[in-house]
Amino acid sequence: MKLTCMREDLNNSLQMVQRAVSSKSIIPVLSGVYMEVSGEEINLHTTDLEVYMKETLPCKTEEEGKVVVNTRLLLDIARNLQGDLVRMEYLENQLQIEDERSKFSLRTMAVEDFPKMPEGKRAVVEELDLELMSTAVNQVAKAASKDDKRPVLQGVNISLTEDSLNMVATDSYRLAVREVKGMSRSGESKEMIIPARALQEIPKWASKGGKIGIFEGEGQVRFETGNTVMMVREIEGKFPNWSQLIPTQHTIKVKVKKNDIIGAIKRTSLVGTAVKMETKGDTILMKSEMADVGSAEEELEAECEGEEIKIVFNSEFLLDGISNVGEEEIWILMNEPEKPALIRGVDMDDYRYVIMPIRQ
Amino acid sequence: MGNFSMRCLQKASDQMLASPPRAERCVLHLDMDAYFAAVEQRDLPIYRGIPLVVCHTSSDFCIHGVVATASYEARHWGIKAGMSVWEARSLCPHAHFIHANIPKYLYNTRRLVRLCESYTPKIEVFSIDEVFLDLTSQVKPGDWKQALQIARHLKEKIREELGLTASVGLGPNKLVAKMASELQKPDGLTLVRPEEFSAIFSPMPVNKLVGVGPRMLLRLRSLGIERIGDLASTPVKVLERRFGILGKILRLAAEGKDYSPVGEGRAEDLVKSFGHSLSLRGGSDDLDLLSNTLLGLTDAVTRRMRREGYLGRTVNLRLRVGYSRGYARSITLKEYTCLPRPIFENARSLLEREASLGVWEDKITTIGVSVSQLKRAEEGRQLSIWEYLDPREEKLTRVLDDLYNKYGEGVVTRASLLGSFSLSGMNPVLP
Repeated sequence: MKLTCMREDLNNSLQMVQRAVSSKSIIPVLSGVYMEVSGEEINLHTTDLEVYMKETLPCKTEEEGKVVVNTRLLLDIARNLQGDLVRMEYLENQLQIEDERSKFSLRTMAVEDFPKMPEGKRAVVEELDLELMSTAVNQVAKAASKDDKRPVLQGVNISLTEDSLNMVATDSYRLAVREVKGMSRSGESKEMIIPARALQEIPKWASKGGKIGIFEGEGQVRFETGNTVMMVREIEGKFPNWSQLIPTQHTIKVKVKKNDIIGAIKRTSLVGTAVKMETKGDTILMKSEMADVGSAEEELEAECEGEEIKIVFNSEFLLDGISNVGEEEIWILMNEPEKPALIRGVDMDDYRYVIMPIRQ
Repeated sequence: MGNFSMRCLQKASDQMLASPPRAERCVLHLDMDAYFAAVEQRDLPIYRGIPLVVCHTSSDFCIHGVVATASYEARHWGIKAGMSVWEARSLCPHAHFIHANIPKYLYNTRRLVRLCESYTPKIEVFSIDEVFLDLTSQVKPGDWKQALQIARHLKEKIREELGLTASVGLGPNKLVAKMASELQKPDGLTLVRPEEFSAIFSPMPVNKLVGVGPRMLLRLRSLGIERIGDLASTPVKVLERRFGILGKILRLAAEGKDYSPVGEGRAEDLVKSFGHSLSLRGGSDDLDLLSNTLLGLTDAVTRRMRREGYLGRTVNLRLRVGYSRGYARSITLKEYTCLPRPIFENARSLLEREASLGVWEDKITTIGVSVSQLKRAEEGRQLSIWEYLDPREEKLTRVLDDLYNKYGEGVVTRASLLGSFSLSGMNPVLP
């Protein structure tokens, strides 16, 4: 194997794939990146056996070949070299990396030990705007659980119908739903649960622009855009039935400017994590109080319909829900202090966020 | 009980090292004499004048377990708190052994705290039988006579209203006050002025210093420090190299200095866990029976938690195999709860795991469940989606609680507990 490539390309690609490298893996080869040079391309593969990532970058090939080297080290080298061009050559279990001034020699690992990338051929969604997908992931994935006792809740449930894609995640205390409508796809309805942690990689690709495709293999799902491919193992199990949770009737409606209420929550939650919201006429009062610490309070303008209410939320959950609304004005829809509340934009209902209050 | 150990020093370390308060303070330490035993002797005249031992035990006839408090009569025989009941019996076979009735003592403590609050709002409930009072604003600076008067009055009030005696220490800070109250017991009243500290305490062994336990004693001895005076004359640097931040605190303590304020400990914070256990006659290794017993115990524990308004999140399973010492396993849940199901399910999975390990060499003779890491129900609890979608357990529990409140414990019981035993009825909750 012998080639020359742009240092910046190598650096960027390695940075992308190193996210699938687990630092804690007991299998040594998984700390490595599998480089495959064929034609005028390098393919970089990494995996932690849950997620498999692949990046492709152009190069000038003198000799084709395959090699596995430590990812972390190669990335540090690519980041710190001074020249614009990097030359790499495989010589007797060593990979030589050099620019005009520096020269490195890295021990390689056995190529045949590196797991093969699983196949995923059946298209689930041929084409979807990457930015749209990224926004949707950002809106939903944070609501997924981090508790490994219920693996299903660590994932985002993606359900597909003829013309829509629906994403849901919940950690038992709040639930976020995002619907993406008007997309072109063929094939039947589908449901799959994708680990939220892996899905959150997608927004990091968004700067590239373009389209994203979703494909399916045996228990695996492949996301593909431009030079980047990510293969994720689906979470087995059944996602809980959440549709009955979303309240359809609301006796109390509050319409408020998004940025006003975000500021109020951030300020009041400085004192305590539980924030109490009180509606009164055309204002809402945000309060927090912590024994032995102190209290905070802020009043803001809002349009309130229905009876007055005093309801307590976890400030972090509330903030997540509100800041993900893509509009200037939001609805907070409630019934009773111990019943779930619904947060959504005033104009669009493609994003909905249900939050359970705190009982006091 | 009342074991002022390093934990307190460590907790208060930053406070202790804080800048010294401006004015000279006046702190009172109140320590109830043989508290549990004294309460029992007050309530039942037949216990008076005889060796009485109050035990923490799970057995019906006070065979196992440890001594919680020994009355002064029992202390003559060498019985001390923390000793095993078995050892205490061998020291004084004719002593009277009774179960500790913690709710009763807590009730007394609450009354005591209310009494103390009538003297000063700045009090710290340090343990079930110890209270610190900050009298600085009640007394003119340096006027210790006035402080002694207040102390005498307080002791008189405690005798009148609670029928109990207490040992009181007065000093310029918590440390000195606490050490002063130890000097004279029972029914003592001791004042240690700041200038008297070194004269009184320097010749004493270093483990008399509050915060120095058996292990710290060994470490200090290895440095050649035997008496409090030795510690006070050891350079701070030597102590700091050996003990880190603790070194500085130790040195300050040896000089009778302590800058920690009298905090506002509440009587409610003294409740640390709720638990029940049951001895199984002849033992059992039948997993169904054991888990059924656990269910009954859990019902009783959670009922008490709801009654007293607590939520908890750590489930502890206690097992005793044959005649060995018992051991415990615990699991901490993500959410606080006071409902039987989550607690039972976790206790049962702990039990199943232990059973599957196959390390029990004999039958299980005692099984118990307790819930710790408590918080008050009014502090609030994050509701979950699933309990909203399926509120059946909560509703059922509420209905059962109403029934118990109206008709008494055990009027209804789980079908699975019928025939074996009805634990909810066996463990009446004291009002």
